[in-house]
Amino acid sequence: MASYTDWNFSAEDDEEELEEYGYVSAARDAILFCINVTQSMHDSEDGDKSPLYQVLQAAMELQKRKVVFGPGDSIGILLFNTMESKTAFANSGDILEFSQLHQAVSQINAPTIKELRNLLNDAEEDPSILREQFRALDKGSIPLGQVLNHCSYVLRDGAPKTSIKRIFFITDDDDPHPSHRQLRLAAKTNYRDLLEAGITVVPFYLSRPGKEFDPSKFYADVFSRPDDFATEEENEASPAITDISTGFSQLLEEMKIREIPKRSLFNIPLILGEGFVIGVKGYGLVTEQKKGQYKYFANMGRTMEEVTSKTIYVDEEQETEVEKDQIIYGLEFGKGGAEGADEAGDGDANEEQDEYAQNRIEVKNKVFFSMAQMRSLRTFDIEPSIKLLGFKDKDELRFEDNVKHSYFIYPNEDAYIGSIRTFSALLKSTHAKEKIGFALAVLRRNTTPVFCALLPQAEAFNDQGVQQDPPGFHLIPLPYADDIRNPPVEKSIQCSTEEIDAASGFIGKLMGKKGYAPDAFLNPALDLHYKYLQATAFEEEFNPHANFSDETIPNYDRIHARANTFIHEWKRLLQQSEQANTMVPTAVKRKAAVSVDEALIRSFYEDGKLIKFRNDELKAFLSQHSLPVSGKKADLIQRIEDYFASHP
Amino acid sequence: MPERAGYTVTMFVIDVNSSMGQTRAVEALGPNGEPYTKEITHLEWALQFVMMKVQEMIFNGRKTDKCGVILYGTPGTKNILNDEHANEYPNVTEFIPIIQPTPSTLSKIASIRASEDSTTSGDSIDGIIVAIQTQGQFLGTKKTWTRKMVVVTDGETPMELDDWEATTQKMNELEIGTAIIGVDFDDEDSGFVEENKSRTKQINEKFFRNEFVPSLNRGIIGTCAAALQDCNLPEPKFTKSVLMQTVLRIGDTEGRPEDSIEISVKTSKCTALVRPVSLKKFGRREGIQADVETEGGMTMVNANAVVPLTRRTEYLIERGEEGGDEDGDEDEEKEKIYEKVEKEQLVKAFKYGATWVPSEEDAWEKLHTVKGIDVLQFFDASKWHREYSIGEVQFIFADPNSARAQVSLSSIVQAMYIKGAYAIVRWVSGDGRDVKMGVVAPRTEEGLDYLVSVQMPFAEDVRKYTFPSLDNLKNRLGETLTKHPNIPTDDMMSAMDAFVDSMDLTHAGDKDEEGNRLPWFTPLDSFNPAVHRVKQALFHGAITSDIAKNPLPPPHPELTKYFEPPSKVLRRSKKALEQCKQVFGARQAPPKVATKRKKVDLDATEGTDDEFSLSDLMGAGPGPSKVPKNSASQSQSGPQSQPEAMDVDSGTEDEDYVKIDMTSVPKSVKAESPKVSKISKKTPTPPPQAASPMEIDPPAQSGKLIGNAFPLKDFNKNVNAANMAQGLDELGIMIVEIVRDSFSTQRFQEAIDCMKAMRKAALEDEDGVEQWNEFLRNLKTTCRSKAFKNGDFWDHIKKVGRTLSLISEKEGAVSDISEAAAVKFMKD
Repeated sequence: MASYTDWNFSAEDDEEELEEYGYVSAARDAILFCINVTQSMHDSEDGDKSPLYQVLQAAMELQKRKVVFGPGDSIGILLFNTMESKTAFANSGDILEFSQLHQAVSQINAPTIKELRNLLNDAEEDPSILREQFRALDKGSIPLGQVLNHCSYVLRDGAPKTSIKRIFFITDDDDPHPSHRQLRLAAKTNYRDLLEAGITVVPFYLSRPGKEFDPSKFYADVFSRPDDFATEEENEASPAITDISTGFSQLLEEMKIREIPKRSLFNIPLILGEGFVIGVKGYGLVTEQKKGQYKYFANMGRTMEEVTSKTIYVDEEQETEVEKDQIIYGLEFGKGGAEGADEAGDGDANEEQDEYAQNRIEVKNKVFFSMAQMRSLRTFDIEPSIKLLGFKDKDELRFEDNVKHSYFIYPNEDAYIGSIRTFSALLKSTHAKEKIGFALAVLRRNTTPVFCALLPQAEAFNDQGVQQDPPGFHLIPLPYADDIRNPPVEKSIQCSTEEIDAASGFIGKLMGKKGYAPDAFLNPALDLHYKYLQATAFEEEFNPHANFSDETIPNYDRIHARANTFIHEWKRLLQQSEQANTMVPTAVKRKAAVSVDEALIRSFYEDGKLIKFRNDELKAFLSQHSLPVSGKKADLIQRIEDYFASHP
Repeated sequence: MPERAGYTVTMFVIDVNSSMGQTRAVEALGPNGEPYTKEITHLEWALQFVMMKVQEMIFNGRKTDKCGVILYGTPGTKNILNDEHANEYPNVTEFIPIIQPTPSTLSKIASIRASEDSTTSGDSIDGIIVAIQTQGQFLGTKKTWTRKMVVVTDGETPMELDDWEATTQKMNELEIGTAIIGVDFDDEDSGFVEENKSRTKQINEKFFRNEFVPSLNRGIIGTCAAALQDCNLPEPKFTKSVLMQTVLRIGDTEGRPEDSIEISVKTSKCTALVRPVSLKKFGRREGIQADVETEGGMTMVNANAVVPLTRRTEYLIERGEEGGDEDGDEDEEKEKIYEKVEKEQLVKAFKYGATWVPSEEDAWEKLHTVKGIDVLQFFDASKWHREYSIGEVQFIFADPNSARAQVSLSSIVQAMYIKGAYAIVRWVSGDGRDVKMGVVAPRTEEGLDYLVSVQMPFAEDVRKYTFPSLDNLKNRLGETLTKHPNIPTDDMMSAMDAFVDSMDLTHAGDKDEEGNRLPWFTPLDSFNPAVHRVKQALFHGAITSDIAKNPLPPPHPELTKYFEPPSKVLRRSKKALEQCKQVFGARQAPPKVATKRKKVDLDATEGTDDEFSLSDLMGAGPGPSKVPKNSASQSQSGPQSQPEAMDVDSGTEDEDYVKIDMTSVPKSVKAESPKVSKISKKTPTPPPQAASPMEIDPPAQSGKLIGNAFPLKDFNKNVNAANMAQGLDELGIMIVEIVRDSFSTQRFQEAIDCMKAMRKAALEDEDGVEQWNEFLRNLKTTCRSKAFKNGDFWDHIKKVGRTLSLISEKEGAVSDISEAAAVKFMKD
């Protein structure tokens, strides 16, 4: 929908590269869970939790995650086809019969989540609670059109105007209005109205053995998007159909994927050649997530007052604040310092050299540029774009050539007609030929052009047919020569083949089937932080030793069970290795290198006679084992004894 | 560059004999980039080189990077050797004692002039000896410092060539790196030969080239021209990575030490982002004229009139508001009263959704972590996802002081290498520090085995977006499509394959020693253009007094050499590119305007009369379409053309994904009920009722009075006293859109014309006055908001001035704006 002119960001400050858009983005997300309560939603199988319980639990988990990813987002829960009607609105006559607004759309907050959790806790002990509280209609369904209409009302009532509004529509009834054309048409019209109002519906269909959910009966038609709406972010892959009998983990996965609305970071032309241009949008699929926002509060005795922090710029000598628009920007030449040395120089030889001094030109220690000049110096006046320079073999993209996270690009047909087919052909061709694209990219205004590799990724699905890898290119910014450092170590002793074989032994035993899978590792520090935060918000106790586990700690039992024999063999070889027991002469300045034989020291240790060594010998040993060399002789000996004790 | 950065004393030994005062013609660029020739002396020319070197030192700002300047050929004499023995080393002057250079050092160097006294002369060797002594005296016992010497001479002064071997011997003893820079010396590389070279210069040049320099262990000789070219080459600032001590662990080293591996290792940075010098903030001192505008190039700021500013953070508590300000009605913000609080009094609170939770961070137990790198598992390198790398790369070396560590790491590295394995590691940089995940890869070189590591994302760091399949398209009936405008045809695929092949860079670079073509581009050869360009501008700005006369030269070609594909490749790919342009027919989309087609019910068999045929939309025959490169032009150039490949027969019309070209809107477009206001997600629409571009309808059909094609015409034609309120509203919205969509100032005049008409109409309408004033305030806010791209439109309004300002009580009786306020509104 963007015309070319409102592409790109308007970056105000070009001092540094723009901050990455984190999960906590300016645009807010509002989700209304709209749950169809049928009789079967209450039926649990084999002592499992009922589908409704699990859906509500999913809604709670999503809210908890939102605390991390989108604390500004809003969530609501509406259940329909219930016997009793209820609304959470305080004084509103607007109530949809046979529906319960369990949670009005409002910003994520601790009390609401806690309330939902308490309900689920109660229901866990007594499963009939949910069945009682949300009694399902005996048969039939209230008109879907009305439900959608009401959703729209509920969303607009509770969600901030600017937010991205979505309805997570959950049902296990694939044909609510069998052969009722009128109701179907009405639903369709109202669905259309939702789209008009900028509200999207994300359906989750629940299937079970013997009652497969068939979207083609009703929903595929009703929730079909007219062409002219199929352009924005939300033209998702096909809706999720979850088989409840296999558990809800899949539903949770699906929700995880969809819980964050897709937002692009840039929207720029991809210039393939002179006159051969398509549009692409860029996304950040990997960005380091930090602890959330914080604010300062002042403890004013009785109350806590919110504190606004304000950055000011001060002329320190005069102790005056300088207004923002009065600030001028300049570069300093020569980093302060050395003024004194210079003064000395001034007074010295120079006085007599008048004949040379007469033509002195002024060399400035500050140089001023306007913002526009500075911008031009930094960007070389290149408009935001990705310009293809050619193709290279995939293996030319080295492990070492990395400085920051990658982006993901996907075609944007709205900017250039033909983008999708061109992009698709480029992707297929490079993927088949095992090539990477190589490009010069200016992703946003006021940023420096950077060389990038375009790594093709073919679309891939998991066993359940859910998209695992989306089709597109990963755009990997490469380092400049300026960013690359030489190895500061130039030589090391290399081992013999026996030792390599021994190491191969335990490495073979410790080979995993999969590569690095981010899903397997929650950030323990962040996780712990949020667990504390939640406990404090819920006014509960939290015991990190009982209720927290760090998933990043190696699985020691597995490692030792598999690799112990090989590790022992490797250690034995190393013990015998002559090379390993030679001493590296320590590069002590202006001192003769002191060297000590490890085996000798060990034998003295075993005899308890370390005291026989000189201090510099003890120190040499310690420094070879990267242990501190400070302290008195007794400390040194103690340290060596500790070392041998732990390294038998 | 094995030597450490800094810890260097460079002596510049400069020939200022009268011959250096002769002039030469050099090429220069005028204010508008026009080349011209100017006359400067040999000395001035040679000093450019010295100054570049000194600037580099000033720029790097290392305390241990010092220099001194010795002149020879001066009429007078002043040097440490002459101080001792009055008659020795005459006409040699220690001009600048050894210091860390500053800008004023540079101005001193710039002021050096050749001697005008042709009766006295100084000897190169004398200058060199004085420099050795001066350097030696300064460095005294500092044995680890590097000694360098740069001699700049035209070789026109006779030298005493008796005892020079003793000098070179001394220089070798002290390991002085020496460069002889000759003005107009013959140059084998460039084939430069000076004509009519004097006899003296021939002798001297031969001496330097064939005897003096060859006898030096670390000596080079070059011409001034080559040296000047070389020192303009961008060169990465050399930073030595610090080695950090840590341990690599496999297994539970604490609980089961006998079964575990622990290797003492050092880590250091392999890549580290370098940014251009950042701008500092300065404030103007009152009473001093700080800015001097010059025509071209840069604004000159009087450096003495500004002071560097310090950043401070204040913490404020709101304490109510002051009453509204009469004049300030255009911006609604009232003066708030704040109370300052000290940081010590503050408590950090984290957000749990809408709930602020005061953190008892001290009470919250920190994650207990132990410094070190733990191996979790190994895996096949082919399973690694390159795109997961989220940071700079680190080296991991075995402890250089421990043979055991070196052999241990070596065995693991080599075994990983042989098995093609990478490892997953958990990295803790210090006790109690946060955990980072990483993947390490083995590197084995002649005489060195090590690992490289890069940070990997946690589960929280990865966003799982799904994207529509590119080629697995289904129609509404769920059938998979094989033919579709979005699916590349066989023709397209072969055109793209040819394009990819022809643009291959694998053998497009320079030749190696054996004559094989290398790949074009390696990161090691690519310089950060901003870093070096800003530096160049800084250097130039620092020594140039009149930037208008002497503008910043263009960037060094080395900086931009990879900005375009190699010309060879461009030529080779020309045909394939043309073919691609033909078959893909990619072209800029027309500004998107949504249709509100009533095609809601598809299975209801509505009159096909209203259906439009796709082939109608697809336009005429094939042909390459022009896409303006990087242009934001809104105008459609030429007729819309569509390649054959996109011809879709009419049987596919109920498929998804077909883009509708707005040039042919179906006749039967029917408006939705007007009460449904669509909220656009992306368009910056500050006025609350502003429409997104998708909402624009052909006027007659939507109940709207004004369309976006000819708003002013529509306004004049369709709006009368009866529907004035609506008309003004719509025109106002349209004006904001025009401004927003304007490419640069292109449509500003149109917007201003609309505003003039709007204001005129508003004056005649009772409610119109308030509508206008309201609109104008909103417009001002919009223009001032950061998100609005064409905010400079407001400046254009200001130029029009009072006649476009708020309507005051003087003009329209119903206005509550004073005349003064209306005038003021336009001024700020």
